[in-house]
Order: sequence, then C-alpha cells, then structure tokens
Amino acid sequence: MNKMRYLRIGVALAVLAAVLACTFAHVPAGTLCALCPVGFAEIAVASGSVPWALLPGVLALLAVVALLGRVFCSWVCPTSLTRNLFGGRTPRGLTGRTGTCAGCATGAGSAAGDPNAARTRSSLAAQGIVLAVLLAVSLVVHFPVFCLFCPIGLAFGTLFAASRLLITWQPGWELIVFPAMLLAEVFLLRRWCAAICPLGFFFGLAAKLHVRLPFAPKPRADAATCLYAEGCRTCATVCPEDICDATATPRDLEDCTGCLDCKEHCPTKAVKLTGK
Amino acid sequence: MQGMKEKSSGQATAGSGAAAPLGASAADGATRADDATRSGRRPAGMSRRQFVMAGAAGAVLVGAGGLGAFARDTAQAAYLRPPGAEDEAHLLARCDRCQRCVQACPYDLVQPRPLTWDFPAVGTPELIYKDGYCDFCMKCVEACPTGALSWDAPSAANIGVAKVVSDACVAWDWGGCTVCADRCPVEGAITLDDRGRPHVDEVLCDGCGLCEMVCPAPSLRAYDASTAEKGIYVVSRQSAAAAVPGALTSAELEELCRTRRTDAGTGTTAGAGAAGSREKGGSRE
Ligand code: SF4
Ligand code: SF4
Ligand code: SF4
Ligand code: SF4
Ligand code: SF4
Ligand code: SF4
Repeated sequence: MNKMRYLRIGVALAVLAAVLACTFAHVPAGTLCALCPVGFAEIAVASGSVPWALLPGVLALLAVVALLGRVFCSWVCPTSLTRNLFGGRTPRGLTGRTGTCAGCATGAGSAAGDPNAARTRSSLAAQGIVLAVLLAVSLVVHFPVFCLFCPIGLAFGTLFAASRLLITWQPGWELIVFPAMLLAEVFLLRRWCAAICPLGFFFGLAAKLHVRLPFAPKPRADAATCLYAEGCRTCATVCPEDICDATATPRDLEDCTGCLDCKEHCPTKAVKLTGK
Repeated sequence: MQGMKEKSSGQATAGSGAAAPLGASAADGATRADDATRSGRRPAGMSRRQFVMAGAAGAVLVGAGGLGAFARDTAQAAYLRPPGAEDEAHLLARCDRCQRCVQACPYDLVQPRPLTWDFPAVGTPELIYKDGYCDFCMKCVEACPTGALSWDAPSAANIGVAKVVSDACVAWDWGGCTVCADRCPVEGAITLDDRGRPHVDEVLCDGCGLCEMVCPAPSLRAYDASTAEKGIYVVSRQSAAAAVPGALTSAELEELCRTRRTDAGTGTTAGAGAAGSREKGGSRE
C-alpha cells in the first residue's frame, strides 16, 4: 500500500538531506534555486543583465522535464513533499484534487463516465499571469520578489536557518515564519500548483514537448489487459491529477507528474510507461 | 498563450452568466466554470477559480514588492557581505539565495541573513566572524552562479573595516591586551598608541575578521549587556559606522554598524590595495 508515496517522500527528503550534507561538507552544490527558471528570469529583469552562469542548470532541469515529464513536481519539489507528509491519506495533487476521481462518482450505478472529461486541469494561462506580474514587480523594485513566497525557497530557507542555528546559535524568526507560510500555501491555497506556481508555467511548456516526444515515457493503459471497458476506474481514482490512463489525451498527460501511483494500483498491471 | 487567454476569458463570462440568475456566490460561479471545463468546451482554459487565485497572487506580489522596497529603503542597511559583493542594491537584485556561497566557505563564515523588518534581505549572505576569519580563499565568489558575488567588485580584496569599541576593548580601560594587534595579518593595520590602545588604519585593514575572532574581551570581562561583547568588530565600508573616524562606543556601534552612509560608495575602494600587503604566514586558529 502506498509504496510509491513513501518512495517519493524518501526521494524528496534525500534531496534535502543531500543539500544539507553538502553544506556540512562544504561542497557548493546549491539549493534547487540554482536550477530555477523563475529565479533566472527574475534576476535578469531585477538587475538588468542576464545571469548566464545559471542557464546550464536551468536548461538541464527543463530538459529532464521534457524527457521524463513533470517528475520534479512529484519526486523533488518540497511542496509535494509537504503534501505527502502532512496531507493525510489522500494528499492533493497539482490540480488541487484529492486523488478521488471527480468523474467516477457520476456513473449512478452503471459504469462511470470518462474521468478525463471531468478533470480540472492546470492552467498555463493563470501561471503565465503570475509570472508576468512577478517579473514586472521585480523589474520595478530591483529584487526577485517571488522568491520571498516560493515554497521551494521557503523550504530551503528553513533548512539553512536551521543549519545557521547549529553553527552560530543565532535563531531567526524565519524558523517559525517560513514553515508557517509553506503550510499555508500548500494547504490553504490548494490550487497553488495548478494556478499560481510560475515554475509550473515553465514545466507546463516543457511537458507540452514531453507528451509529443515519441520516445519519452508516459503512463498508458495496455488495452489488452486494461479493465476500463468493464468499469474499472482505479487509475483515475488513485491519480492525484484524476487522469485515467486508458483514455488520456496528450493534454491530460501534460499534467501527469510521473508519480506512478496508477502503475502501482492497477489491478491487472496494465499501466505501462511507454512512448506511445 | 494568447489563444488560451481569449478562450479563458470567454469561459469566465460563460461561468458568471450561468451563475448570475441564481444570485450565486463566487464559489458557485467557480463550480459553473469548472462545469464548463468538464463539458470539454475549453480544454486549455483557466477555470474561474484559477483566474481568481492568479489575480490574488499577482496582487499579493505587487503589495509585497512595494512593501519590500519600502522596507529596504527605510532600513538603508549595509550588512557585512562576503568578498565580491559590489553593493547592497547589486547583491539584492542578483542573489536568489541558492546558498552556494554558504556551502562553499570552508570556515562557515558565510551565513544567510535572518528574517528582520528588512525582509527582502532574508537569506542573502552575510559574514559572521564568531569562530573564524576570512583568508580570501574566494571559494564563495567562485561558487556564486548569479554574479551577486563577483571578482570585479571592490570588496573582492576588501570586505570591510575593523572598528575598535572603546568601552568594550580591554586595552582601553585596563590596558595590557595586545591580542588583536599581535594577530592581525596585515602589517600596520592595527597599531598601538602610547597608552597601548589599538587603532585601526582604515586604508590598510581589509576586514578579514581575525582581530574580531581572537578578541578575548568576552572572557576577560564579566557579562555586561550595555557593552558590545568584543572590543573590535568588522563593519561594512558602506555603513555609517565605517565613516566615523577612530574608535566607537558600544551604543554608536549598535546604532551605526548596519546603517548605510549617505555618501555610500565613496570610501569603498580606499583600502582596495591592502590585500597586497597581507602577510602570507599568518597561521589559522
Ligand atoms: S507546480 Fe510548482 S510548487 Fe507545485 S509541485 Fe510543481 S514546482 Fe512544486
Ligand atoms: S525561491 Fe523559488 S522562484 Fe526563487 S529561485 Fe528558488 S525555486 Fe526559483
Ligand atoms: S497518470 Fe499516473 S503517474 Fe501520472 S500523475 Fe496520475 S497517477 Fe501519477
Ligand atoms: S573568501 Fe573564503 S574564507 Fe572568505 S568568506 Fe569567502 S569562502 Fe569564506
Ligand atoms: S552564491 Fe550568490 S546567488 Fe547564491 S546565495 Fe550566495 S550570493 Fe546569493
Ligand atoms: S580585520 Fe583583519 S586586517 Fe583588519 S584589523 Fe582586523 S585582523 Fe587586521
């Protein structure tokens, strides 16, 4: 049960632990901010010159998303980690759903309708608005303004405040304020990922490429063994994004974060990672 | 992107149109908008709730940007930054708090700023000379990927300047202590006057922090909250404290060490050549 979820928690914690280990070993690996497309753009407009040295890391991260899908969101991002750790039995996914397939209940006794038709999708347009505003504000005030709210920045800010406490014994308010902001963003603003996260804008663009790459792995139900026609909606029910692998269109798969819950729970092991 | 916006605004209209006759709340409207998505009419669009959230997030960002700029401008702070920080404005514009400089420093001197009223500076690097001093290994500058710390900045060879605190320095009232002058690796940066009190040459001192680290005043004096702990502190060359000639009192240091000078920048290159006169043989603690 929930093997994949524990694996995701493990991977995301391992990333935080690795960054902390680098701090104590004095290896300047940096936090995820060193790979962030939003930070790159913010610095460019806030300081009026492009931070070229950041570009290789940013492109590498976007290349990973283009090849493997939005795996960063499921497996690495502290937002998903927070959800998986404190979200109870059914933590919400990117689109703010609970992983309990909204469309599956509408069947009224008979076989349910197509879950993919009932999904809420992440919105590039909403994230684009946030990105445009944050860049405009950064341009005017001359500092990267979104980083003060970013869940990723808040998670690492807490981590480094703790490491500073160990070294200098000087606690700061951020030890309380940052975790509180992070929890508020994840649990009060449930659609943070679907409607706000500007990293999601870049990842969404890369995911558009991903679903079109013939060799890039995507979860698809193998029609030979899939029980969709018999009324099974297990994949859509467990999927944090309500995606049904039997009927998913490329647009639906753009929101897939590669969490692999569908693969784990399919009763006939019909879900395969294929290029399609 | 453009196409999506058009579609989504159409969707918002459809949502409110459906909800209005029922006198529905915003939440109902959002449900209707979701329903519109459900029917598959606008596959790539934005639900009304998503639009409201994005708008609210934008408003918060505008507010936070304004408040942050106000906080930064009223605080006018000049923190002691790692070598290679050009000035406060440049560092704040370029640092994304990736913490690579923090990780790079072999002596843990570079630490993220704590959260204070000057909140845009939170997480950006500052130097803490509690258990170490800077030997200008420049690993922090090498590590910085954003150019917030750079080799070209005047502070790359000159981090700041040491200020003697007259009511905390032991040599000032008891006499006899010469630890800072003995240990300073820059010849002539600390000299003793005829009463044995240390004076810092503001041109020669490069702000390495060795004197601050070794100052024994905290262990020699009984704890007194009214004076600074140590008898000598390194401050940013942009700070108002750096502009005051000679020694400071604890109260003056407290008030001025993080206040930016109005003529900030004019004095920053004064001691840039000092690194050349560094003694190479200074051993580490
Ligand atoms: S959308 Fe943003 S906040 Fe959400 S999981 Fe992805 S990167 Fe993290
Ligand atoms: S704080 Fe967030 S937006 Fe800023 S650089 Fe880091 S990951 Fe990117
Ligand atoms: S389709 Fe499968 S792998 Fe993708 S998000 Fe849904 S459950 Fe996870
Ligand atoms: S130059 Fe070296 S010793 Fe000095 S602050 Fe940077 S990393 Fe630390
Ligand atoms: S390495 Fe540069 S960008 Fe990163 S935290 Fe330090 S000064 Fe900021
Ligand atoms: S900061 Fe360094 S160079 Fe300046 S007086 Fe102290 S020990 Fe000497």
